[in-house]
Amino acid sequence: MMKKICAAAILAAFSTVAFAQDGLTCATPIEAHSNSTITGDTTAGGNSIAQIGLLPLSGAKSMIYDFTAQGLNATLTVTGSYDWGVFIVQTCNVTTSNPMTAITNTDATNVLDLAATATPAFVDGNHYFMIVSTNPGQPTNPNGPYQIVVTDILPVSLQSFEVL
Amino acid sequence: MNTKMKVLSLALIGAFGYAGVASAACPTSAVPPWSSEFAFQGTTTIATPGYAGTECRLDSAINAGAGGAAGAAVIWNGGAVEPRYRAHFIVNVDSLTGQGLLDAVQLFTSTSASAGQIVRFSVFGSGGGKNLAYAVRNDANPIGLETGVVPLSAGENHVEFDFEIGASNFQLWVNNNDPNAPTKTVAINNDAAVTGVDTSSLGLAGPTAQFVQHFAGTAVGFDQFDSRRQNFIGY
Repeated sequence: MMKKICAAAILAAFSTVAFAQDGLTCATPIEAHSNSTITGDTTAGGNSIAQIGLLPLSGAKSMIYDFTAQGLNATLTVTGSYDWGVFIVQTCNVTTSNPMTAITNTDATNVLDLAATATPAFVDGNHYFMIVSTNPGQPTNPNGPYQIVVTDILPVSLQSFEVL
Repeated sequence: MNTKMKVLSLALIGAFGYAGVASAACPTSAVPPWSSEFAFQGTTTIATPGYAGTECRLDSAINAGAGGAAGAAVIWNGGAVEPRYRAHFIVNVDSLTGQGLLDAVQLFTSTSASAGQIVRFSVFGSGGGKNLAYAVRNDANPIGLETGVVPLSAGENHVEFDFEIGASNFQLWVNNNDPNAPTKTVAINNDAAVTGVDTSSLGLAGPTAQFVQHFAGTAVGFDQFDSRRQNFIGY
């Protein structure tokens, strides 16, 4: 018997859900994909997160994405025209967990190597959130448009599984 | 240990410094005058010199390998709930050289026995500087909190706040001695569950994993804690 496994590789299909994945709350994150370009504007984001761990968001709005790690080796290249911050967290709620890694507009680089900078390390199969919001240390212009280029593997989703 | 009593008002409810003569007079324990001490995966030490002219200060450090529940703090418990509560303290975070955004750690909390944490201060780095983060309970906000940030200076930083239950303003002074011009004013309105402040905690706690990685064993100094019901404390 030949077994054929079709596992997805890159860019998984959007899952069909009964509610809008609008990125405005932790319950409705937008799925982030490998080798993709994410664009948005936190001006249209949600007010559901007050702080990232101990870091204040000072009333800024947030857009929330999620992914499941599997062989993660992605880098994020972030640009924005406001005082932006991008945070990776394990749990998402009004105060979230402390960020595993993050990047802001005042950092020396706008490229974040997720696996190289995360504490604790990513675990295959675990679910994570990416929160796009403001720079906690400089929330002067707390909301605005952003672009995140995801290079290499972020999540790998199973598209189909077949046993022949 | 000598208890430093600043200019007294009738509403003074707690004022603890670490005055004394260097090693001869610095107390070996913070309790009393503090109500208790919390040291889990961390240490509190009374060191010299103190800040703002005192001889002794409190040093707080988190141990290597500590988790997120670690803490090294002294606890004030006045024995009664305080519906209006002012507190002042000095913190010096110069020892946290190169502190980054992810190297955050809690410095101070005030807690309501009926409603949990209602005021919290933390420190984190950003852009080469250090920042005081505040989080204040506000039931009028759907997410229940107001958060914000104030830059800290090198050396000693004076932090004072005024919290009152009901519809009021949370006011914050950072290195600011003008009672009529707070550094931050935040409108809050807490519901009946928040009866007031029961306890406060001064010292490092709740570190991020990155803080433990980079600053385990590094002491942060505190001094000149003072709390009152109404009067501006200042310095």
